[in-house]
Amino acid sequence: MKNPLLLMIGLALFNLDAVSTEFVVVVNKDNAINSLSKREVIDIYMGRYLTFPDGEMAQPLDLPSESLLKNDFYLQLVNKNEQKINAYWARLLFSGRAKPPISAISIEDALKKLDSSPYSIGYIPVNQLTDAVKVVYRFNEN
Amino acid sequence: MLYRFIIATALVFTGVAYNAYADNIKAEFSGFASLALSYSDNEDVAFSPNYLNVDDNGWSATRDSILGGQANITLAKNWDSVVQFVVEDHANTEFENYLELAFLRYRPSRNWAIRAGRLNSDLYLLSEYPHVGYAYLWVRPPHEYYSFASTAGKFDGVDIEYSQSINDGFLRLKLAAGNTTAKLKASGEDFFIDFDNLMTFSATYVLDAWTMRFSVSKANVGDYKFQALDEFINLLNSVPAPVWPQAASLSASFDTKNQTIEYAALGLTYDNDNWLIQSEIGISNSPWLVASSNINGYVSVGYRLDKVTLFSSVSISENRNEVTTVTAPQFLPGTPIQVTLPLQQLALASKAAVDRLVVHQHSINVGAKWQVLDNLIVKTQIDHFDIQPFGGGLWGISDPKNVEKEHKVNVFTVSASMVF
Repeated sequence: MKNPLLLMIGLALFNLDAVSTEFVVVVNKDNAINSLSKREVIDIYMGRYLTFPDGEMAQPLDLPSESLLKNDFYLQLVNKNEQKINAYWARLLFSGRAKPPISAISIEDALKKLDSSPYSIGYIPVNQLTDAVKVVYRFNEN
Repeated sequence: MLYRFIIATALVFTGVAYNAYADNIKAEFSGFASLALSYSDNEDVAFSPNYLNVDDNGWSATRDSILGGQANITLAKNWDSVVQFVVEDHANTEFENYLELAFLRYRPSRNWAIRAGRLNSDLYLLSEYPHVGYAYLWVRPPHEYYSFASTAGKFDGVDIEYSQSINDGFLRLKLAAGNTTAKLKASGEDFFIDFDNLMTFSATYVLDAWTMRFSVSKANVGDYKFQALDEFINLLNSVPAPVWPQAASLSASFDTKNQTIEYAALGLTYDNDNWLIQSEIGISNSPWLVASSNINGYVSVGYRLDKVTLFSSVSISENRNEVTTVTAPQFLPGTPIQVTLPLQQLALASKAAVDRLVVHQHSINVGAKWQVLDNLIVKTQIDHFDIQPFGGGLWGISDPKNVEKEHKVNVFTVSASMVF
């Protein structure tokens, strides 16, 4: 399922990041959505809604498991660490409600997936933002 | 029958769609497992984590061990299907008893979802995922609250759900209708009970660290299959009313005809930073003596220390109404012993049956949960149960003398739960 070498390199790189990473939430450039509120991001990332507010399907992406970035993102989003998020998704998945976000193996992989799918939504550190994606939410905004 | 037809149709539709549009259909497989070793230290009463499973005492590696597999099948933009099998130590080992989910779902908009097939009840906070040890704090859902609830944990029918963000919170309302058959064993014999016209309404509100759920449910007790109960009711019905007037009312109380069970439950979870506090209370109203009116509930407090969570819970379940008193038949002087003896024996058997079914117990547990790996949790838990005299309805008691005694039971459990 996971390439251990890539995961280790990824984890080593992510560990260099500070705990309070500044994130942006991004979508495919062709997505009609131009902005989301924090609550709308929560609704999608916590499996409450499976679509964007306009009704189009949403496919959330996660950064690798056990990375500081993923942990930090969920702490900033819903004040829950990855351990709690994993238990939360086990509840949703096995109660038949929803499937968890797809896990990318790196930020580059997340950007590639975002570029290739109009339904994808992801989060990346603001300093790794590229023109290939569209920002719909910034964590330093209310 | 209608709901059996729905579940069959849902499965056939899923299968046909899968074959016809295999290129566009995506199936994803996942699973969960708990491997548990436990010891129940009382030889007089046998422990079972729920009503559907084998009860025993002493050491057991099967009592709380579970293996579950699930397929999530995306059929089209708004259509999907979920099938889930769970293998556990059920007393009744029919294949159908292991099918937990098999439904077809249509989402006409982001706020609405309609499901048909075999569904899970969301009557309680944990009743949608009672088998997924990875997802909750304890080694098993609280015994007093979830043991009997397992009989209607899954049902065949339809439900409709409405979800809506409200300010900073999220509200989910669900209405469900269906039937289910609880397949149990009693004294080694098949004991099947139909719950017909099962209707459940639930409202769940999530706000920051808080989750609140209120639900009400109602079901008619339908047909049953249990030869011993048949014979017992027939004997009560054969007693002439002047000889033993109570025989008719006892027969009516044990028979499933015209019996309705009503239930209301309230659950609350607070999960913030290091604290995880959860409590539920449920009240049932039922004239049927096999599942009489109860009140049950628990409070659980957990505190996280990095990857280890320490927890403790107290739980209670007890009869709400006065226990039926069985009065002995009265005979005229000179009545032959051939008449009096069988009736006296029937009265004693009736009293034993009434006493055997009463639930009155409480428990306390302490334990620890350790997140070993991303997908693996190890837990240990010690439960101390105090079963009151004539209160062992949730336990296996083979010797009638043990029904009238108080019992104290310690259950030690170590488990490893994972998802994959």
